[in-house]
Order: sequence, then structure tokens, then C-alpha cells
Amino acid sequence: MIVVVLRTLILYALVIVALRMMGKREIGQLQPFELVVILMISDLAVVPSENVGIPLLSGIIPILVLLSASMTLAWISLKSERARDIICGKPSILIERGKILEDELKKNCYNLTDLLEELRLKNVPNIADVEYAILENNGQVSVIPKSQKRPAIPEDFQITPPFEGLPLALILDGKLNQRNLDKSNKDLDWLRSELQKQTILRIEDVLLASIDSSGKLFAQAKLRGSKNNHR
Amino acid sequence: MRTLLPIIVITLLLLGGSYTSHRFIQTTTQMIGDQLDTVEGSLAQQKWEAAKNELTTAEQSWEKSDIWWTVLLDHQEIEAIDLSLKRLEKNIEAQDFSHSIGEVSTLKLRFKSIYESVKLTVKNIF
Repeated sequence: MIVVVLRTLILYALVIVALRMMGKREIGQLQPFELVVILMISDLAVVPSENVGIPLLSGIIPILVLLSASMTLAWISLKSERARDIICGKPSILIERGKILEDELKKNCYNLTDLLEELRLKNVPNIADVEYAILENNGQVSVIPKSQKRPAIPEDFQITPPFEGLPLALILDGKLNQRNLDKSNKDLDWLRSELQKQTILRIEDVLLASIDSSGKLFAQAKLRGSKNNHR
Repeated sequence: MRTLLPIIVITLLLLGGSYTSHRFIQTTTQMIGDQLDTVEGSLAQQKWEAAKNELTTAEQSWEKSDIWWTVLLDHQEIEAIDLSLKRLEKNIEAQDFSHSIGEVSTLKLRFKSIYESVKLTVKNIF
């Protein structure tokens, strides 16, 4: 049994390494050739992990072949626009200037129900409000509403809002993140005094503390007597 | 370069590994096949003691590269060869000509088919 456990762990580690090497896009937005790799890799890893009669190498080699093939295609599509069009395809415009392009729908086997569903998911329930709808290579639909129907932005009112940076987590489950504290240009004394203002005496008692770009600290204390780790 | 380097490394590893494993299987199966030919020759002349010694040499060659066979070959195939070798050994000890000659032919065919299965041919690809 331990053999099956070890074989599974080895293949699991290999699949994780392979997916990490293929890049972040692989997990979220899959291109057709990447989807094929994911489907095949998962299947290739299962067979040798459950059957000890098959050499482990029979699972590892095809995974490595798929990894290098996928990385080669990604590299080629990065270098050549023409190759990118062939490998990944081109986005299809389904609605252009408010008009549904029937030919494009047919070409992509995309029916009107699918289109309306996607529009609703993109918070544009009324098709009359859509200027452009584009079917992207990863299968998602990008929707551009008509200019008079899009949400107003500060620029429309000629307002320049202040810069909003990323909030930084300074304490997570009682552990201080010194790097984020340095990044926020604050020191430990300032943090302690801010926590004391919120009646938190020790850093260890903080569940979460984060600072926003305006220098405002959010802090929440752990529940009294709580010993469980929240991370 | 971040993408290109792993591609080159993996491709070189795959090509190198393919060549090395092919060479290993070719030389080892050929060597054991030759040793089994000698066993078959001794059996044909009913030289039981010589056949036994030659079979021991073939068994030693097989066991010497045991770890590599486990990595490269289906484990059921390895067990089948182990069983066949043991059967042949007992048949020779019992001086059973018909069973011994049949078993040695089976073993030769098994080793031949191992090499045939790794050859780069259209038949093997499809």
C-alpha cells in the first residue's frame, strides 16, 4: 500500500510542477491546447498511481512530453502572431455596433440562449444596451455596453479621486509581517500604539491587521480563549 | 529564456533517456537471447549439466539489471519471465527434454518481443 501512496505523491508533485511551469494562465483562462494538456495530464497521472504493475516512468514520460509540447506551443505563440492565431484561434465578434452577427454565432456553435445568458452574467440583461460582445479564445464573452448605458466613472464628472493602493496585511493570526510593515513606511512603535487605541495590547492577540494606502489601520482581535489557528 | 531553457532540458532528457533505454534493452535482450540460444543448443544435445550452468549465467544477467527492468518494463512481464526462468530451471533439473525445450523457446520469444516492442517502427507507434 505504501508503494501506491508514494507513487501517487510523486505523480501529484509532478503534475503540480508541470502546471506551475506552464504558468498561471493554465489554471484560470485555458486556451484549447492548454485544456487538452490539463485533461491528458490528469488522466496520465491516475493510471500509474493506482496500478503498481505499470512502471512509474510510463506516467512520468508522457507528462514530461506534454509539458514540453505545451511550453513549446506557448513559446511559439508568444513569438509569432500568425502562429498564435493558428494555435489559439482568434476572438469572434458576436455583436458589432449593437447588431447580432448571425454568421459568427453559427460559426462558433453559439446559440442565442447562450449569448443572452452570458450577457446576464455580465450584468447587461438588455441586449439593446450592448455595443459589442466578443467571444474570447478561452470561451468567455467580453461585453462592451453602449456609451450611454455604461456605468458613470469619476472622469465623466471631471473628478480626480486620490490614489488607491493595495491594502497591506501587517498581522495575520498573531504573526507580524515585517516586510509589509516596512513597505507601508510605518514602524513597530506606531503599530503598537494604533493597536492600543483599539484596546489590543499584544500583536499575538491580533487576528488580522491591515493598512490601506491612506494609512488607516484595520485591526480585529482574536476571540478571548481562542487557541485554534485561523490561517 | 525562462520558457526556452526548460523546453530544451526536457527535450534533451527525453531524447537522451530514449536512446539510453533503447540501447540498454537492445544489448541486454540480445545478450540473454544469445545465452538462451546456448542453453537450447546444450538441451538439443541432452547436455543437462552444461544447460544448467548456461541457464545460471542467463539468470545472473537478467537479475543484474533487475532495477532497470522494473523501471522500464511492465511488472507483469517481469514476473512472467521470472516464472518462466524458474520453470526452465526445474525442467532441466528433472531432465525433461520436451518441457525444457518448450520453455526455452518461450523465453527467447519473450525477450525478442521486449526488444521488438521498443523499436521505433510504424507498427509500434500505431
